[in-house]
Amino acid sequence: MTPNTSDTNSRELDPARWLEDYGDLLFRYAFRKMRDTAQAEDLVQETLLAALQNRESYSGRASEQTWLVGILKHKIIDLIRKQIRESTVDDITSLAELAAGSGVEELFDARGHWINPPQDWGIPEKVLEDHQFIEAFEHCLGRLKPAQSEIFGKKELAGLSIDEICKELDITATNCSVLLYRARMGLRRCLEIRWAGHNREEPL
Amino acid sequence: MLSCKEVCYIVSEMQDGKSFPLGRRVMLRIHYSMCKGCRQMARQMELLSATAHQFGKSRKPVSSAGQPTLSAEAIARIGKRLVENENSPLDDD
Repeated sequence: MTPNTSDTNSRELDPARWLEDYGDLLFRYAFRKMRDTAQAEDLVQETLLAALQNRESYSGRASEQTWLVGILKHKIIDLIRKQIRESTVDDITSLAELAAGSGVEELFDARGHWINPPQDWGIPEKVLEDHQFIEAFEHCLGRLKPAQSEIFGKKELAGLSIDEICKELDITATNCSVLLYRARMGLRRCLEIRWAGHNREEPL
Repeated sequence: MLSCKEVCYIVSEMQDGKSFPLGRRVMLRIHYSMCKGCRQMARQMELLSATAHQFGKSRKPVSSAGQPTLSAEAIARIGKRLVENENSPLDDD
């Protein structure tokens, strides 16, 4: 095989230029999703290698940037899927395990009652107009685990159904609802501490 | 009698679109009538959903100013891999 022919297409699709022109953009996109520098760098590398391998299939219909971001999105989904699969063993096996499990459960005592009962956040319409609340929400969303925020984003921000999310991520409905439960409880708790606790002068 | 923990999970599943039989829903009502914490939790969860909905619609494209960039070391490493693969696309070391 001789790939180094003087093909005009491959001159236009120059991988070294991809790195220069789109490297930072791809990195930022990946970093926003994964919040991990090493993982984001690996994703950029895998994206560009996949693009290099498939450059014959680039039709030129989409812009180069759109094409590369499209490949990156697939790589991110693959990675999140893998992380969910790997976490199933010790993280989200079943509801039974959920009951005995980690993180969220610190909110409850041995009988399953609140240790710190949720506070009154006030009138929903007012809260939605409170920019401090929206800022805190964004902050808290950024602190969820990547798989949790990905699923929460798909469900609540993009408005996909559970079936669509399960299909896209190739996970079970139970995994999906456990991750969403964790995401919601994590957000709720984070907002309680960061926003509600800050807003009120009441002692805990 | 449902525990608060179970109530949280049921509320979350309801938000996912799952429907529960009447008996379960009655137990939920009974729990709410006795537990202020869970009533607040259910309101909070609805607010989270509403906030996310609003947030999803209003989210502006993120400005690239002040955002992380690839390090020189990462660029060199990725560039090297690209060159290796470009010269011998079928050999993957």
